[in-house]
Amino acid sequence: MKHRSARQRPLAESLSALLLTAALVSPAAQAADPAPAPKGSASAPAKAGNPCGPANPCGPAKKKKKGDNPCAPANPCGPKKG
Amino acid sequence: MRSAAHRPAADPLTAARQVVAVQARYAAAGLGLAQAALGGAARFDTLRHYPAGDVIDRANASQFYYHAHGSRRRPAAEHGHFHLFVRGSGPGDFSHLVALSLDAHGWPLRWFTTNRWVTGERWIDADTAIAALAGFRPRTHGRLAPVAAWLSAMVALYADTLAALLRRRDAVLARRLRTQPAQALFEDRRLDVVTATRVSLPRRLQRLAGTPRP
Repeated sequence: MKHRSARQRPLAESLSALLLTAALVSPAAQAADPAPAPKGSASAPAKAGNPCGPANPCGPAKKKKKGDNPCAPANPCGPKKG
Repeated sequence: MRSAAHRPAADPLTAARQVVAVQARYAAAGLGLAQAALGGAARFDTLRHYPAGDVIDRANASQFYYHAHGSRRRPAAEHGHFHLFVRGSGPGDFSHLVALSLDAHGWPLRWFTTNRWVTGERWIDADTAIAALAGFRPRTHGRLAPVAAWLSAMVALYADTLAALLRRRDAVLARRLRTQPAQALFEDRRLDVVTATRVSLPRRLQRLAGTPRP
């Protein structure tokens, strides 16, 4: 029999509860390709994800293909939308 | 780069309790972290950032977002992944720390590191990234606040794993640098994920809780 410390006990209890409850969690829907944007507008992911291009969005222009850095963080210094 | 509050990271037991508390709250509502990360969005579009504009905490120099896209190295069970960054003070001054894949139920699958081109980051070495991870504590308001707290706790809970992962990343790149010029290596489109480590959160929690595995 393994002895738990007083600090471990609350974790053990909440963990058992979590493992039970989590079994009932429904799976999240998988990602889908975005719906085609209306003619003449930019594609949704490019707008939301990387509005001013990758790498250094606020620095001196450095021409790169759009979507070059698929995981670049959003541009916090771009103009606010809306 | 701003030295994000280099407070000592939470100890593993405290971090574990935080992780469990956040997941339990979501689970009670029938949600997993993968669903929570979408912040109530009606659709989950490939490559789109959730939330749009990312969670950015300038005070703690921390930033993250969740998204999904294809990759040769993507685990089949992956729903999406978080990217974690440390932010500098200058525009465009950010560095990628690590990424965390989740399955559709919101359980973590793996931590991984990326090559420089993937995020267009300012590259920092493993030791600098490890120090920045200790200060990774994004705070935000609203529905993503618990997700931010969960991520901070996950980073503290896996601090040893992440340090090893980042050091291995540097070792992999150092080895490749012997045969490949630096610029070509950091821009090598064939190399997106540099190092990865699979994780079982329930097992780690059970170990910390002193609970025998089922």
